[in-house]
Amino acid sequence: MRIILNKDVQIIPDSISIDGLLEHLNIEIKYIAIEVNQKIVPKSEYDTFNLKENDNVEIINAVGGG
Amino acid sequence: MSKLIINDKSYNSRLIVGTGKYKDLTETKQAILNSGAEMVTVAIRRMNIGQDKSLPNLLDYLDPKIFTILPNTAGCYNAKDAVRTCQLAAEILEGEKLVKLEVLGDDKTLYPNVTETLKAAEQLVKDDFKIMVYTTDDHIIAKELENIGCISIMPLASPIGSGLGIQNEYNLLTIKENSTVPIIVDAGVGTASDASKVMELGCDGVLMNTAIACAKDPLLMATAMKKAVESGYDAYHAGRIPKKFHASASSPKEGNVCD
Repeated sequence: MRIILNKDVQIIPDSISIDGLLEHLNIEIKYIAIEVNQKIVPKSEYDTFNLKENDNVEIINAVGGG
Repeated sequence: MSKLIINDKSYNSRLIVGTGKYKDLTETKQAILNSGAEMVTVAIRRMNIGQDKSLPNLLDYLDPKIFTILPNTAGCYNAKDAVRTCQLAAEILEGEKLVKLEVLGDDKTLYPNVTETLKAAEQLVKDDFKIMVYTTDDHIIAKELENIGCISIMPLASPIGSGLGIQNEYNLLTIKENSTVPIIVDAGVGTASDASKVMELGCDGVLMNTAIACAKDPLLMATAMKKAVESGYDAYHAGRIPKKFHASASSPKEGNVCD
């Protein structure tokens, strides 16, 4: 299915959970935050939160800054 | 040097450093170690999805169990974005709610937008965030931010990344005179004497990034900044002599062999 991931279109497996998405993308669940359609999804819900077609997903982390 | 207390935690260092603009993460970490800083700022950004999993994350280098991580809202131009960024930061940092609030006015000067800053501060205090706030050198606004509940006021000394040094000594003094929370000068430092000057004014600390990261030798500049903050603090507490128009001899007049 199609989602928007960090502003880009991404095709991912259907009915995938956030846990599944992170595995699919090879991203470790450490020091990240995830928003789906502008709402933060707590880490405790990553395994049960299933993504839908056209969801707007943002994966955010900390980078160097002043 | 006495300890700096921020959010009920005490710090030996009164220097807070940013983590941007370094060549790589190894240099970032070494500069921070040389600076002696115990609190470091980070920015909150979308992850680079294509990145190699084996590439280290900034927070793998700067362990939040060792350093106090101060996420900033750099790049936010309104209160709504700043509040959202703080919420994301708290999620990234396992619920930690210490943040550096900065709401900018324009790209050219990176000057704070104080109306949006006040609005964001009010919302974030309600959400139980502990706010260290970047603001102008206006003591009325500084007091208002303190009254809202900000735990530290961080006025600029000159524009972010400009290296112009302390351009507003009397404004900073007035802010310090009227505040009961730590005053940490954020932005404008160019070299070590600027950091000393901030501390000689009686401010509680200094925050800097570019002055270290963009120096020809960042690791050496980090060491210089550590010494500058310490010596400026000591000089302020030692009490400088009054300035006089004429000279005052240091050697005794009595017993002068030239008489």
